[in-house]
Amino acid sequence: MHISDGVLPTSLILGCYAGSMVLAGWSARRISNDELPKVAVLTASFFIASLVHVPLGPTSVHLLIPGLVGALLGPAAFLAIALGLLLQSLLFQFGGLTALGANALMMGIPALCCGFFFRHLRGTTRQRHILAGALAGGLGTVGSALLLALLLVSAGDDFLGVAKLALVAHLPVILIEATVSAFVVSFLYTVKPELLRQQPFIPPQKLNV
Amino acid sequence: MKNLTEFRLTRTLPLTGICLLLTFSIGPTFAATNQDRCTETITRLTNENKKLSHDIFRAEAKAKALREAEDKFDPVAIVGGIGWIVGIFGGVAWLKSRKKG
Repeated sequence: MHISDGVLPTSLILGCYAGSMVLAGWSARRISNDELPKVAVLTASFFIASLVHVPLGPTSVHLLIPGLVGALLGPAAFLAIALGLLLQSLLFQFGGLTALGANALMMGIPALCCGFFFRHLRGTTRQRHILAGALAGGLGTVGSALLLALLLVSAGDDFLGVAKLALVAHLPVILIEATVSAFVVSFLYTVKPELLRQQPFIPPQKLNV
Repeated sequence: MKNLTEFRLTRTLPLTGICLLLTFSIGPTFAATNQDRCTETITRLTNENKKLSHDIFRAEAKAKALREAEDKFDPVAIVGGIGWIVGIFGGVAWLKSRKKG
């Protein structure tokens, strides 16, 4: 689902770079020292997940896991995804370097949204955690597909057509990611529940003011 | 009347003979030429078809190989990428710990 070089107009590329840099800066400020190893592990997971191909007729789609990264990292997810995408484009030629900002926004914003939803929906029970994890995993890819369609509208494509195509092509990925996220959340809930803790999206001292 | 009949016989018989001669001598030659052309065209088309089928087969094999190559990744790139991530976050952690110290 990566956007390649030369697809988007220059103004949009620059705008996306500016937007993603602001969000990456904000995301970097939201990472605490204790969280660094967790962010590194999930960045590596995001980087590797794109190599898991799901065969689909004559072509194949790959996993994205923005939902899972968002659910586990919260506000730190954007930086992890931006770094993962940078390395993917440099080492695997996934998506163009010029479209890195657009790709980061396309996967980072759904990740942040999924992190926010997961934080507020997970509750305290195991079932709620699993349900919230599955929802976050599935919605991450749905959000990415919709943002992809929105970005491609600027390149002259029809929004509904591209959105439908992207959603249909990624339907197996959405289901797989929801399942994988539910399993990961369930496993972590049992084995290491502190890993499911996220940094708050808005710092507590700002909430008090 | 007799003269007319004689005239018809003397004129039409040779003409008929010539026509028959032409029909039986040149006709088969024309037919043979047409048949040769048809055979030649069929052979040419069959050869072209074979060549095209071969080209399509080769292109399909190439596309399949490309798709397979796309699905396979260099393990060095994978390990290198993970190394970069660990290195970047390790460096940041080290800098933060230095600032704290």
